[in-house]
Amino acid sequence: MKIGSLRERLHSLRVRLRAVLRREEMESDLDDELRFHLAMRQQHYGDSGLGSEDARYAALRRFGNFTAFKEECRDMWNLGPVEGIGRLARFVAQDLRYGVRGLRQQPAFALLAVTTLALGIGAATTIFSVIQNVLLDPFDFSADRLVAIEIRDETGKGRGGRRMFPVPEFLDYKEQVGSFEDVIGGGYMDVVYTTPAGAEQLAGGFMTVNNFSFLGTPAALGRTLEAGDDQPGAPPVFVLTHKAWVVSFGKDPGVIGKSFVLNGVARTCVGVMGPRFYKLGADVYLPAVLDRANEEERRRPYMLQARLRQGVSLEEARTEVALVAERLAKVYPDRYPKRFTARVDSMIDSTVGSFRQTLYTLAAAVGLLLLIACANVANLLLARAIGRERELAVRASLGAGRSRLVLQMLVESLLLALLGAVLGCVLAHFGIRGIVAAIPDGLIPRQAVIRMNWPVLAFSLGVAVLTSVLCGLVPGLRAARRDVVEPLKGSGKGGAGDGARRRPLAGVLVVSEVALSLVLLSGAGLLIRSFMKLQNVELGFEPKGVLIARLAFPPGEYKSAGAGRVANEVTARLAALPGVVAVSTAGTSPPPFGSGTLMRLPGSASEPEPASIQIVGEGFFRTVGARLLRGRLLDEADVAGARKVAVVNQTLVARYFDGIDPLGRAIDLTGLATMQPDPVADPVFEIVGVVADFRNQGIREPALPQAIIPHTVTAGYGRGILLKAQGDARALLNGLEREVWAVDPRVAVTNVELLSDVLDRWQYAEPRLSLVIMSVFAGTGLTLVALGVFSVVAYTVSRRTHEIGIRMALGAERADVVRMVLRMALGLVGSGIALGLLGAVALARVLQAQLFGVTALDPATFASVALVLACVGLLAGYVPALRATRVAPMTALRQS
Amino acid sequence: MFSKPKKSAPGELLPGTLDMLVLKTLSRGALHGYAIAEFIERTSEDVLRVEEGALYPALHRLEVRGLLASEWGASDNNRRAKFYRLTPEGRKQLVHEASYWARMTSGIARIMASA
Repeated sequence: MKIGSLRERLHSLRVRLRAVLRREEMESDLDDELRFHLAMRQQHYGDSGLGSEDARYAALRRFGNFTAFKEECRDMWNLGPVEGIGRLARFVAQDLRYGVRGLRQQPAFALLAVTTLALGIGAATTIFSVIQNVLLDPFDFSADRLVAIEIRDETGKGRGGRRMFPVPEFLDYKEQVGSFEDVIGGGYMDVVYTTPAGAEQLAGGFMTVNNFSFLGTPAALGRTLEAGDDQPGAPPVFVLTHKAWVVSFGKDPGVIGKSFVLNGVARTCVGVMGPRFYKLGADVYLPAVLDRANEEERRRPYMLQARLRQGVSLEEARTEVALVAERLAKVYPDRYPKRFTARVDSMIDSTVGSFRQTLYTLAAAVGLLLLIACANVANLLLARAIGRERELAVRASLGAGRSRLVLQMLVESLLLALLGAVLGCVLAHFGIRGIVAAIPDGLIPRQAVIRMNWPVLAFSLGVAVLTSVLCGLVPGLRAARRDVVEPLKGSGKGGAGDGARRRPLAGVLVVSEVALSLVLLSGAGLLIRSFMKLQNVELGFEPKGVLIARLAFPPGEYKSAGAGRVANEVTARLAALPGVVAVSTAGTSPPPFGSGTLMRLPGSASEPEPASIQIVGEGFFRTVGARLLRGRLLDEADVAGARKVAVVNQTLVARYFDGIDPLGRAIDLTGLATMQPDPVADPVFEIVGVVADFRNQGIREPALPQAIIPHTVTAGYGRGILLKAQGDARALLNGLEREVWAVDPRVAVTNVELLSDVLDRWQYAEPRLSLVIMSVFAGTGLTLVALGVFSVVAYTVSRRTHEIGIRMALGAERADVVRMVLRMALGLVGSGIALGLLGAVALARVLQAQLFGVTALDPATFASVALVLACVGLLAGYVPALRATRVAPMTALRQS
Repeated sequence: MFSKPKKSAPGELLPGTLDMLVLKTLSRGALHGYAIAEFIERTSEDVLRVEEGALYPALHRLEVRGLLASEWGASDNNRRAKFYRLTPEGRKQLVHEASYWARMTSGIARIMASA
C-alpha cells in the first residue's frame, strides 16, 4: 500500500478508533451491506427466471467466498496497534466482568486473597511513604544540589564530626570553594524573650540573610530576613516560625511590625514563616552578622550549607573541599583533628543520617513480606485454577489461545491486586499514623511530613500491578500449558497419586514462603536480641526519676558569678521541696554525658586528646547515682571554693594512669584554656576520686575519658538543673519553674525532661522503631505462611481422601494417618527452613550495622526462629491431619 | 491473539485498477456497492467480471484511506443500503490515477503497436 498523506492517516485512525469503540455496530453494518448485495443479486437472478433457491446459490457463487471477503473488510479496520489495544481492552473488560462474578461466587477466597494482598501492599505503601517523605523529598524546598560540610575526626578517639564553623572559617570556605554557587549559614542561640509575666526561653537561630531567598521559602506573613537586615546600624528585626507564632504569640497577625524584647534588645517582628519551615529547629530567626572583625560575632559557630554550581558533581565538590580543608587546617590547627576527612554530603543525607540504613532494611523486609503475600495468593489462585480446570479446558477447546488464557488469569489477579491496593492504602493510612507517632524526635528532618501523597499512591498502584503479575503468572502459565482433553474426560477428581505431586508449583511456592518468612523472622529476632542487649548495658548511672532542665540567662549580665549564684540559690530552694531526693546544678548537653573537650597530662608534649567534661555541683553524684571506686567525691567546699579538683572515670585512669594510683595526680584539661566565653587559665586539675564509667558517648560506644569538676570554675558551659525525685519526677515540673522565677524572673527554664526520656530518644527509640516494625512484618509473614502451609496440606488431604480411606480400610491407625500428613507438612516447612537459613545467612550482613551485642549470624536466634517456623508448620498441618483421620473408609471409597 | 491482518489479494483485474474503477464510477454520484458492481460490468460490456465480493474490501479500504465517504440510505426498492461517494481527496486521487493510467496505457499501446 502506498504511504498515505497525514490526512489520510488521521482519517483511517478515526475509522479504526470507531471500529474499536463501536465494534458491534460496525459488524452488523458490514453484515447488512453484504447481505443487501446478495439480496439484490438474488432478485436480479429471480427476475431472469431462476427459482428462489437457485437464485440464492447463483448470487452466492457470483459473490465469491462470503466469509473471506467479510473477514477482509474487517481487516481494513484492524490495521495497526490501535486495534490491538482495542481488542486487548475488550478482552480485559470481558475478563474483569467475569472475574468480578467469580469473586462474588467465592467470597471466602476473595476475602482471603484481597486481605493478604492488602497486608503486603499496605505495608509496602507505609514504608514507601516514609522513604518518599524522608529520603526523597523531605523539605518544603528543593534540596537539589544542596550540600552540607562536616569535618570528621578520623583519629578514632574523638566525638565524630563537626559541622559548625566560626565566622572566619565559614567565610574562608565560602570564598575559597569554587564549586559553591552560593552558601548559607546559621547556628543556634538561646533567645530569652522577656514578657511582663516572666522570661520565656525561645530556641533561636541566627541566619545569614540570604537563607530565605536561597531556599526559595517565602514568609507566610510579612517578609523574610533580607539583605540589609544584617548591616551595622540596621534596625533590629526578627522572623518567627509558624510554630512559635502559634504557641507563643497566639496566632496574632498583629505581631508583624510590633517590637519584642529578645535577649534584652527591642526587635521588630517582620514576618512569620510557613508551617513547614523548621530550619535549625528554631522559634525565631535573627539576622547573622558575618564580620571577621567583629569580636563578639566572629566566634559564633555556623553550620555551612551550599548549593553546588550547575554541572559540578558531588565528587568534584568533595575533592575541592578536601583541598580547602587541608589548607584551613594549617590556618586553624586547634580546630582540626590530626587525621580528618572533610565530608560533603547532600543536604538530605546529612540530615537523615543513619536512619537511611534503617529505612533500607525496612524496605527490604517489606519486600520479603510482599513476596510472601504474593506466593500465598498465587497459591490460592493455583488451587482455584485447578478447581476450574474444566472451565479452562472448555475455553481452550472453543479456541481460546494460550495467551488469551494467560491474560484471563492476569486480569483476575490484577482485579484482586487492585482491590488489595485499595484496602492496603486504608491500612497504610493507619500504618503511617503509627509510624509517625513512633518516630523519635530528631531522627528525621523536622520539615519532613510523612503522609500519603501522589507519589505514594502511584507507588502503591505500581506495587499492585507488579503483584498481580507475580501472582497471576504462575497459575496463568499453568493454565496455558495444561492438557485440554484430560480434564474433560474424567470426573474432575483425582486418583490416589493426586495431590502435591500434581501440584509441584504449590509445593515450591510454600517452600519459598517459608524461606522468605525465615529471613524476616530472623531479622526481627536479631533486632529483638540486640535491643535486649542494649537495655542490659550497664549505664554507670541511674536515670530513673531524674529530671533535667536547662536554665537560660539573658546574655550580658550573667557572667560566671551571676549564673553560678542563681544556680546555687535555685538548687538550695529545690532541695527543700517535698519529694526531692537530691539536686544539683550541672552543665547542660545533657548530664551525665558531659561536653567534649581536650586533655593531656600536665607537662606532656603530646597532642591533647578528646575527653568528656562535666561541670557539677556537689549533689551531682547522688542525683545520678554514680558509683565511687576510689578516693572521694566533690564536696561543698570544692564547689564553693571553685577548686581545681576533679573526679575522673575508669577509662581516664586506664588511659593515662595505667597501674599507677591516680589519686593526687594532675590532668591538664587544655580545652578549658581556650573555651569561649570565660576560659580557665592554667586548667590543671587534681584527681580526688574515681567513679565507674558512664556511657558518656551513648550506649553503643565505649566511654570516653571523663572528668567531673566543680561548676564554679567556669561560666563557659550552660547551666542546668539535675534533680532526683522520689516517685514521679514529672510532678515537680511546676515547682521547678516557680522556684527558678522566685530567684530571678529573667531566667527562663527550658528543655525540662526526664533523663530516661532523653536516653530513650537518643538510644532506644530508633532500634525499637525498626524492631517493632520488623516484628509486625515478621508476624504478618508468619501468619501468611501458616495459612499457606495449611491450605496446601488441606488441599492435598482432600485430594487423597480416597487413598486415606483405603489405607484405613486396610488397617492403618489414626496415628499413622496423622503422621503421614504431618510428615508432608514438615517436609514443606523443613525444605523452606533450610533454604531460608541460606538466605538469612546471605542477607545477614545488611543488618549487621544495626545490631548491638549480637552477630548477624547469631546461632541462638536462627535456631529459635527455625523452631518457631517448624511449630507453626506442624500446627498448620495438624488441623487437616485430624480431619483426615475422620474419613470414614466406606464414604471415601464410595466417593470415587 | 493479536495477529497482523493479512494482505488483501488483488482480483483478476490488473492490480490496483479496481480502486481506480471504483473512484471513476463514483465520480458521477453516490452509489451503493451493488450498483457500483453493476455499473462497472455494464459499462465494460461484461469484459470486467470479477467476483463481486472483492469489491467490498476495496470499498472499505478506500473509505479507511479517506478517499470515499459513506452513509446509509434507502435503495431504489426501498431497502437499507450503504451509499458511497467521493471525498475531495478521492476526487484528487482519481485525477492522479487517471493520468497515470493514461500514460501507462499509451506507453504500452505504443510498444504493442511497434512490434
